[in-house]
Amino acid sequence: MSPKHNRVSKLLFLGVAGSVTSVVWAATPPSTAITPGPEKSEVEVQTLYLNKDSVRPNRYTGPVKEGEELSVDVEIIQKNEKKDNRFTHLQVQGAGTNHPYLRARVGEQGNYSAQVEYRERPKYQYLDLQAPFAGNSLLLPQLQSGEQLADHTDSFDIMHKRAITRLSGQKVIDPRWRMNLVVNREDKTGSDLQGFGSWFNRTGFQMPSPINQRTDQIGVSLEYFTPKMQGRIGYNLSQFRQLDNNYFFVQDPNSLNINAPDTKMLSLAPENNFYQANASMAYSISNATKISTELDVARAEQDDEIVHDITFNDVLAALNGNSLNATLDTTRFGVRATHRLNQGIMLRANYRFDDRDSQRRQYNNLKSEFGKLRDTRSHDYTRHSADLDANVSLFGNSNLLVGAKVAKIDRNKELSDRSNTEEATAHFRLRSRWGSQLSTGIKGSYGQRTGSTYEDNITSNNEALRKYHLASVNRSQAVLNATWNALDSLALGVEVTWKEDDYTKSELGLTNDQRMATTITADYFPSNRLSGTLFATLESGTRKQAGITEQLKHDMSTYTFGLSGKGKVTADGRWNLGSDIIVMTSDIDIKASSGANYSTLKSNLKELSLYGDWLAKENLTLKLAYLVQDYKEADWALGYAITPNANNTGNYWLMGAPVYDETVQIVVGSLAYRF
Amino acid sequence: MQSNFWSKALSHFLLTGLAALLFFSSPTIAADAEKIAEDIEQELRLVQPLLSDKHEADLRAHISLMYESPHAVESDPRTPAGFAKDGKVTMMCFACHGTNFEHFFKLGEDVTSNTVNSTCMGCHAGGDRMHWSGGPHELGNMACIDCHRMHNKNERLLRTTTQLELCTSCHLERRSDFNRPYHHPVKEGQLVCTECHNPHGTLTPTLLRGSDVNETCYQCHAEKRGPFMWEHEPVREACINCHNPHGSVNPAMLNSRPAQLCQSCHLTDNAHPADLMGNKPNEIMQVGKGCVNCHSQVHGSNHPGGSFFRQ
Repeated sequence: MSPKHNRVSKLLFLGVAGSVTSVVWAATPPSTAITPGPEKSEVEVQTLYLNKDSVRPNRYTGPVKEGEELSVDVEIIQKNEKKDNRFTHLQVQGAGTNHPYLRARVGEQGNYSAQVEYRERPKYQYLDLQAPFAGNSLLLPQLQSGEQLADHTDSFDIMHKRAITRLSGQKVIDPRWRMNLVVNREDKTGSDLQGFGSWFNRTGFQMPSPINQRTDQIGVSLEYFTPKMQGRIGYNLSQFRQLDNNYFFVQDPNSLNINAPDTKMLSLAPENNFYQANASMAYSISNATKISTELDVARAEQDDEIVHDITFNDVLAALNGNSLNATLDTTRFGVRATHRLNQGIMLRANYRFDDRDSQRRQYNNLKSEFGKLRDTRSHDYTRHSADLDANVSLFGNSNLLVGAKVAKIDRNKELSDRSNTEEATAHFRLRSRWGSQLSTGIKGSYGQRTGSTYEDNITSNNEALRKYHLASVNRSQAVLNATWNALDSLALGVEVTWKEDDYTKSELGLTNDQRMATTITADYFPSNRLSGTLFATLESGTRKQAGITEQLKHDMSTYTFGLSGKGKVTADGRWNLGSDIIVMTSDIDIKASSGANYSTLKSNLKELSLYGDWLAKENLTLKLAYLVQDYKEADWALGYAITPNANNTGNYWLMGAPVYDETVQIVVGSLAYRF
Repeated sequence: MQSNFWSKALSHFLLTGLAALLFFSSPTIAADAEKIAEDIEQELRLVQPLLSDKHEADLRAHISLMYESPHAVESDPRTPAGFAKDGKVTMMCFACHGTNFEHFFKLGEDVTSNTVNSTCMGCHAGGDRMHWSGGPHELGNMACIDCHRMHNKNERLLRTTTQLELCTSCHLERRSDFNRPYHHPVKEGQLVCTECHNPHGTLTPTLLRGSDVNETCYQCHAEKRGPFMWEHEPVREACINCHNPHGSVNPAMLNSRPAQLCQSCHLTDNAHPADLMGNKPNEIMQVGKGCVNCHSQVHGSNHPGGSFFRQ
């Protein structure tokens, strides 16, 4: 029996495809390897029942509406490794649902493989939000005398779906050369929850903004392999397109005359292209010395038409042409060398160069929406980083790693005190084994970044924009861990992690971010019929920010607990049961020195799943799973009525994103037949 | 409502159970693999009787698993089975276990990490494993068999059913991250760790597959790539300036919530965005999506009125 059918995740989250990736060129290349496991032909019919409308448990797969869902999985593996290397593998999951997955793979191990995949991947954010737009458009209804816009709201589900088609293949040219090809198309459609407004006018509204876009990607690479030297060269292309326009229109529900409303023209992401050539190599100079290197040269370009909103004719008139004609050229080079001095000492050195060069027709000093000239903030930098490490085997069974890293970034077009940042970090790690049952580890690092400082007495908004990601910071980290095989059947583990970013030279903005996490694990295997795993993590953190007139402190704690167990009820494994429990609670407290009262933000998840399968006959398996999820949250930012000025929120139309407090149950039953 | 739910659930289960009774056929058995495994088991017990008894209670089943894996394809001359067929070794098992079954890959007992890795890398050094040497997993003294198991039916020969189980057995905090309310859909099976990371080694930080953080993210979020007419520099530097890609308690996997996150940088001595969080928890700058209620194009804008990312 395939191990995957013992896991409730495979029952409840239909459309799972094991370790198959969907990312294109940077993903694991296709392989000619034959599919492991015996030949098989199996059909599985699943029926799922969801007891209420909810996006929480099935956000990434569906279903989200109360009711039943029927789906079919098929898997056919044919191969004959005794006679030849050929194989075929057909896999269908979730047929009949809104998250189907299809994979068909053919090949001959050591010669070639070809694969076609199709997948639909939904993401549900909200159900039944309300907005005063008519139907699926972003137009306002016509009101009769005496009617209010709030009386004419429609219901909107905020969700999107990615439909991904992928062709991939590998050809083994000879024992040293392989060629890979991946072609990928992703269409993303649906809606997103977007806002528009003006703080100064105290008006605004949320809307379901449209998503209708396509990304095409191609990746081709040639690999070379010998035991002494390995190499790869590749070329990748990506095109992002809007299938409609790169803008959309929406009527403003805050218009003075609703029957002749103001229409806003809002932008969507502009179309872009990306081209990349890359080459990498690893070479063993000797048994003790190896060198690896990588180079990639890429260009991102965007020449989409700038949104022609005539409300901003003065800005448009000042532009040089009607498109950006922007390119971002990147050059990245990395090299690593390792040398084993002797059995006990290994040295490693790394260097990395990263350059970004931005060119555009519209450069600095464009007229902004408020009439002032503003920088478009295009981003260039050059980064050098280098590190050196030594890995030393100590007496007994201990291993010590020590090292240091330096980095420098030079940025163009930044104010003088922010253009350069320099970083220096020292780190160490000591791992020890105490007999055959106990191993321990301790790790630490301390780094300093020298960059912009931020002191009081700001005199303009531009100076106030300190940019914490460039600021001087002391960065510390420490980790302690231990694993103890208390018994042959019991392994215990503990890990404590502490991190702090201390912006010691900053008097405004983020000044300190500190986190600590403690995790314990236990794995219990008393026999080959029973196993159990437990983990618990407590994470706490404090984030401090300093303002001009007040201070802010954000305290966060998250507790996660998981317990799972599975076992063979019968010794022959024909009847198996399993269970998983997950508990997650999170509290966030925000305290402002002014005494503003923010109630605690809470998230609380409890989930129990039970599953079992029964091998009724040699070719027939029945499976049943049950999941109950209870999710509660407290969030002072949500749960407001949709109409403006509700609860003193200002003249802003919200769509009523809810505060969740619900319990959801799912039952899945399936029948798998092998023929 | 509860009784309706249970009656529906029960009826569905009974329907599928009824359908099950309609199907009968003879079971199929991989007869060839069974016979081969029996032969090998007998020979192995002759060659190494003590080790065989010590290490494998069910040797035949263990061998059978190998015979259904890519390493056992005889017609592929690169595999251990291919070596045996070409006469390079007298039995495919010797190619990995040694000519007299010197070891059974019990780390710390009969083999070291270096020995294991040398065995595997003799054939698998290329491709994704090109930069294994000097990578953090190699420096951590990890062996291939810490993650992979050759006698296995898993598609990538992983020791566990899923990547998430495997990776979080060491990277414990990630197990909690993916259970937070807002996370990439890894535990739902829609993504796997190797979409973003190459555990075998890269020359980029944190074993990312893309040339840096942003390039990794743009492979699925190409609409964020730009360049844009109006840029937002922390976005261009690194997506992780604002986001936690594994999981967060904050919507959109943010490191903290707007307006807090935004006011790490954006402070003014005048009315807006003014000082920290104001003193009205129900202000429009804080409810809903906070600053993004108005500044929705926070990743960049191609609109003439987009200098403040409102359009």
